[in-house]
Amino acid sequence: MTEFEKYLQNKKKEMDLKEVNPKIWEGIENEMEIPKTKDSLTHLQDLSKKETKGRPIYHKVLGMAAVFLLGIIFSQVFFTAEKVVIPAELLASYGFEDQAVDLVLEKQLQLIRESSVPVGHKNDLQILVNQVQYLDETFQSKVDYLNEKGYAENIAKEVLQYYKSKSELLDKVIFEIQKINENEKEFNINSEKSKLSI
Amino acid sequence: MKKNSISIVKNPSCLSKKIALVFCLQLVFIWTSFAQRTTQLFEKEIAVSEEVIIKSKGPASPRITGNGVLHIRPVDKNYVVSGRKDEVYVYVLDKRFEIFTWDKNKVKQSTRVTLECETESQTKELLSALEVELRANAADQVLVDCKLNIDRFMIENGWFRADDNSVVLSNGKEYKIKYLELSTTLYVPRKSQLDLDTEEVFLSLGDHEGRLDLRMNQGTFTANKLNELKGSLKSVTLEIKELSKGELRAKGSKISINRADELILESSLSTLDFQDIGKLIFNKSLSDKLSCGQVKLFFVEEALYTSFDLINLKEATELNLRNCDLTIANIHKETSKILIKNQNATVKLGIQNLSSYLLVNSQADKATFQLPESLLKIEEIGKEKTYASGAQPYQTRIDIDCSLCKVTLSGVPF
Repeated sequence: MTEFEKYLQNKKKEMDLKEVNPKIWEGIENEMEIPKTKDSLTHLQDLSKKETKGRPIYHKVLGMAAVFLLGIIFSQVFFTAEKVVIPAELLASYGFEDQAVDLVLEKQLQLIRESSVPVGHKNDLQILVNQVQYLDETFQSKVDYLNEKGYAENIAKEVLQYYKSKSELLDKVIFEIQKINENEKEFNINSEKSKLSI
Repeated sequence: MKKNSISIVKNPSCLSKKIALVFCLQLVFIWTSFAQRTTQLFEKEIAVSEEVIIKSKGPASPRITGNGVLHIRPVDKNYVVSGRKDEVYVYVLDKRFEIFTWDKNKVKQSTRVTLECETESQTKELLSALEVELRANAADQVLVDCKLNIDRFMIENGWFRADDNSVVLSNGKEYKIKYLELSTTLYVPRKSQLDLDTEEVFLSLGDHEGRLDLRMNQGTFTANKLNELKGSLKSVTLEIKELSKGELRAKGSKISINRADELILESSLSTLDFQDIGKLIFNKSLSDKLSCGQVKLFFVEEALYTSFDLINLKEATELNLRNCDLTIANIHKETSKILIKNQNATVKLGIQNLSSYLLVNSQADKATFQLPESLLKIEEIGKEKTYASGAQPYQTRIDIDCSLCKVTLSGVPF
């Protein structure tokens, strides 16, 4: 043991500090790089990218499965939305020329929407127009059935009868509008005119 | 497996034999599966008073519960229920409901059941548990249930689960089934009171002398001879040959009556085809089409956009119409009064049989009149013009108050 070592051994208790000098800790902290919260997230994301670079097949399989599932869903939607084809003979027996029965009805409705009627006769005509609602409500479930489940002759007949009744009713509305307008013209009555709600 | 496949390839005749064997086995399987279908007639007859009230909802409207895919639809005259496979019927409920009348003071229900369960013993067990529940209560009413004592019909299935069908009887007991078909016929006293509330049913009734309360939503009703009918009909086809008194509310219906003493109607969007009616009253009519052969008395309280087409009017008519085209082809010489209030319409009256009559036109300035040459104007006060034909006292008085109308009185038949 050297003289210096002997000295340290004797003075050991005196040299030990009871508390660490705060100045020492401050000095240590200033030298350390403490990352802020945002930076730490970016760091984690980078880390995640690095880690996932090693598993591209897993993602590809997931993507393919998602595309496959979407394909199934779209095909289902496509098939259910497909128009039911009613045989031409059946359509003809109810007086319809082709599958576009909706278009026939829409043309009639459009004609009524565009027509003006004498204000004094509007209420009566409106009562007649409102009867369309009864037909729609009564047969909506049958139309839904045909669209959802596909062609079934019995249901198709009922739906065609409904379209026929609706078409006849709309024809009657159109006829009555023309009739009142012509009669007013014939008897020189110039009433105020208004459109129907439909 | 390998050995078998080699032998098949080596010996084609063996392959055809095996195919034939499989085919035969399939046939046997199909035959045995159909062989389990058993048909049995369930009948019950109870004594009742002559004027018993019989209530029924008919064969439709069963209580069907499902978990999974369930198809319910009409096929021909049946109400068909199927599970995952639309074409494999599980329940077939006959929508035809025939009610016969007889002179006995008895009610009889006859229900034909065709049933198939998993095994023949299960079929027999369920058949022995089914029964016609027919009894008169203290109020002298008999309730007729076409589905026997079956409380509910169930179908359960899923993505990886085949159809699991069962019926639950009113005592709570559940039976697995593969196929069930029900068809009911009813026999009632001729003078009983019937109260029927049906939906999408093909209903037919024999000659009946009591009162019939009929509430129908879609479907058809046919009868030969009825006494009293009170009906509420929605999209129904109704055909009656003879009726003493009828009170009908109809919407979107097709009504055909050959002969009736008195008929009171409130209808819309309906086609009405009558042959010979004593007294015809419309309380309300909206966009109907009436075609009538002969009527003695004809009254309309309120009508809008209905077309009235009558061939013969025998006694009198009072009509309060708006936008209703009217044709009375032949007014009988004994007709005393014709009162027509209308607007925006075409009115045609066949007066060829009238010997003497008075015509009062209240809207001479807003209507065009085509009149016979023999008609003479006897008075004109303001917009009211009065015409006369024949000698006094005038047999018939015709009052027409019709603005924006085209009126034709014709001396020759239309």
